[in-house]
Amino acid sequence: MQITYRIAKYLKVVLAVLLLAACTPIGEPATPTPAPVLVRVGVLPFMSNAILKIADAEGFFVEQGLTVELVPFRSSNDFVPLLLQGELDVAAPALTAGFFNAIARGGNVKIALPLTAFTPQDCPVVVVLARKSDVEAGKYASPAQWKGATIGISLAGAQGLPGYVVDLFLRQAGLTAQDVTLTALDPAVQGEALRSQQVDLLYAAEPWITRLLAGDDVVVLSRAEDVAPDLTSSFMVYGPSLLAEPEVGRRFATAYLNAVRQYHEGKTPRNVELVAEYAGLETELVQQVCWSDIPLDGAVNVDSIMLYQEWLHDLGLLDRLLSADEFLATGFVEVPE
Amino acid sequence: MSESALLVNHLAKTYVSPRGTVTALADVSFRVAAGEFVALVGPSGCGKSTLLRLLGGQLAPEQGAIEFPGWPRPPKRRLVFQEHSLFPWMTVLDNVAFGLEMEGVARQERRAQAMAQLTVMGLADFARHYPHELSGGMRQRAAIARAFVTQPDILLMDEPLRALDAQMRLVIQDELLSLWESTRPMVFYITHDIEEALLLADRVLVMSGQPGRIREEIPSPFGRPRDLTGRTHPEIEDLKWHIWTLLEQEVKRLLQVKSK
Amino acid sequence: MAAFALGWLALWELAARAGWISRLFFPPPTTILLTLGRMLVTGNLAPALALTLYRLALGVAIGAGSGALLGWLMGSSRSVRLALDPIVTALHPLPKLAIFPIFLVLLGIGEASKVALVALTAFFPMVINTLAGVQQIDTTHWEAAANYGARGRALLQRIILPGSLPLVLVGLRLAVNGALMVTIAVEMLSAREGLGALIWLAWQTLRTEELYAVLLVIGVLGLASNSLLELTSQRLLPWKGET
Ligand SMILES: Nc1ncnc2c1ncn2[C@@H]1O[C@H](COP(=O)(O)OP(=O)(O)OP(=O)(O)O)[C@@H](O)[C@H]1O
Ligand SMILES: [Mg+2]
Repeated sequence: MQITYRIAKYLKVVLAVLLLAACTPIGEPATPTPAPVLVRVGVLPFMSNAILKIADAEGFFVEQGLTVELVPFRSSNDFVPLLLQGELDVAAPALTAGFFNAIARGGNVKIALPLTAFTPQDCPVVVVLARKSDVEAGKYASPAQWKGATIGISLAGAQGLPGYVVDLFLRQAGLTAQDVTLTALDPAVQGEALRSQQVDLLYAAEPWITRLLAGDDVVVLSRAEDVAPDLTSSFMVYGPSLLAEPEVGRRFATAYLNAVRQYHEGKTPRNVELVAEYAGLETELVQQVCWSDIPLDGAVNVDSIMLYQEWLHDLGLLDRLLSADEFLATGFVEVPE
Repeated sequence: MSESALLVNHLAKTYVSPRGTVTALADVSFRVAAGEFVALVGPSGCGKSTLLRLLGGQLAPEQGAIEFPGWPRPPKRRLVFQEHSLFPWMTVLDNVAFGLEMEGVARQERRAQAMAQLTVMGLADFARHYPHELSGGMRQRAAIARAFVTQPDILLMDEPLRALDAQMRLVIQDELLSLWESTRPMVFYITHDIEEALLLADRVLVMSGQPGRIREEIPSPFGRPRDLTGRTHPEIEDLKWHIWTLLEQEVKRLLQVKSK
Repeated sequence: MAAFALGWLALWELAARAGWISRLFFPPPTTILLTLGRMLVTGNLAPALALTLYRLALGVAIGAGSGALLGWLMGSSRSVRLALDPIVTALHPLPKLAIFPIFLVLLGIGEASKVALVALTAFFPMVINTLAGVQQIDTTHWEAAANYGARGRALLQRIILPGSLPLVLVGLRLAVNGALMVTIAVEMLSAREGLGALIWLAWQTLRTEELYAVLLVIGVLGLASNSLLELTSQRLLPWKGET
């Protein structure tokens, strides 16, 4: 028993090295022996993730007796594996097929809280952009005219939520993915690609929308909230450690929702300062851009996830369809009656 | 009518490098007639190779002149190096034909000529081989063939047999003499081996070193055609001894110069 | 060696099946092989492989070709060498992937930027090795060539090209290996097709058995390209003898 265990451990190390060498940057080295209330959160340099910074900076985590370590990442690619391996306790991974497949294959990760949602507000957070000249020439007057267009989308997005939203736009116009060409674009070059006519349309999110609209040659064609109102577009996901300790999970959720409450005060100087500092953006830009809604009540729009999941399944990306209780954890948010 | 010759007048050459200045040759003068076989002996480092490169046009003199009076056109000068001068990426045949190729001789023609030369030298079976597949002696013979096949007016040889054993040297010396007898180019032959110099050449130039000068000219006592089997001529021992003492003085002087 | 490798695979298989290691991240080798077979049959692997090979071949042709030309030019002309050597030396160690966004802006989002990056990767080892190849030609050979009247074109064809060829081929090998790595990496970054994109998708969907299957293909690709180059070397350099 002893020996097999040790062999297994050794094997794990060797294989982990193999895997590392082979393909994926796993990221930060593991911190040794987490104290019971140390919660490690994988965060991305996006404005939405600044909510965690608010909770941290305003002492909401400390209030709940939690020591939270925000571990910065550049992409959410490796969040699910890191959660499963216990390297992280919480993170907001993009909801890719990998998330669902990990669960289908026995991985213990679950959605605990909503992050952003496509709540209709007076400004859009996710849109499809077009060249102003095209729109003025009447090119996209009706959605059906998207037929034949080349649409720029982030590489990660094409087979994820952005791809789904684009598909919703197309469906609305009676089109399918076959009617357009999706082109993977790095956000840094998307504006250039649109202006130089390498793509006709662009799926874009804040703060890029504000940046691109500043050029005055680009206009918003459609808003995500129109085709997918109230879709929950990103989530806080708990790994096995927090799922096993509902008490810590609840305290984390409480601190998180306290931060959401402060976030809902809007662009107060304090919030602007924290978001700008966290996302590494200029204060003016942070003031200008449209801030995503983060649901105050901590409720996840399950129907929207089911629909999205079906879309992934139709693309052949999923091992199987999951039921809601397989991917959604309940009981962390105290619902005030 | 002036006979065609090689005339060297007050030749000097200094190498300048960041590590210092070396006067390799100072005031070297001599004359070699067309068809003459001249050997050059001298202590190591006295400037023999430098002189050869100057004669071959590989280096430019900084003082003095090298003249070729009496030739209808500038004489064709070809070098034979110590060793490893065959191009390793060419077959023996292509190596031997190389000089002809550069002169613009058509492929068929140059191959035939090169093959004939190789046959004369007993290397025909190795024509399609690459140099690394040959013994050192065969390679050196091929290098000599490469020079002879171009029918040079002046053949400049820099210790061509240095790396070979005594047997091989004897064989090639013999071969070299008969090749020379048949076409009679002027040969300027550098060697360390005093006996070799006396046996092959009409005249032996003895050099002194640091800086290099011609110290003495010694005519060979032997007539032509020469028989190398009769190596034990009584006169040769005296001459060898004479040159040997000259060189010994030189070597000792050089050692003193160095240790100063 | 083979026994050792087989032993490891068997141990891996056992460990994965017994649950000592996470099957999600380390699927058993047999599963990987079966997945590879399925991917070959159902046919998304072949087009990806073809596309990757196309990018690789085009990039190497452009990059290694121009690298060799420049290397020969630098080797033949002292002034060109003195002028370009510092530039080449300074640019060589730049991480190619870091330049990719700039290529995207310059060359657009299509094939051109990807192939250009692969070409750039193949370019440097080729310039450096070709130049070294020319420089290591023996002084005696230069002297002999000059003495026998080789100049210009003849010098290039008969001395410089064949004399530098051994190191040129070493350079080609480095170029191909580097280019293969960068091709896959670029595909992971920005392509929707190709082996790199398959890896990326496999990770995105956490279908790790597909990930390993593609890695296996890439390994075989590396092995095949290297053996091919080795064979070519032996063909082109009969004068090098067996080593
Ligand atoms: N390229 C060079 N640069 C600087 N110094 C040189 C160069 N070539 C030769 N020398 C120097 O010039 C002197 C003569 O050299 P050279 O090669 O002509 O001598 P050598 O008589 O042929 O010697 P050996 O019998 O050993 O071949 C030596 O002191 C040598 O160090
Ligand atoms: Mg010498």
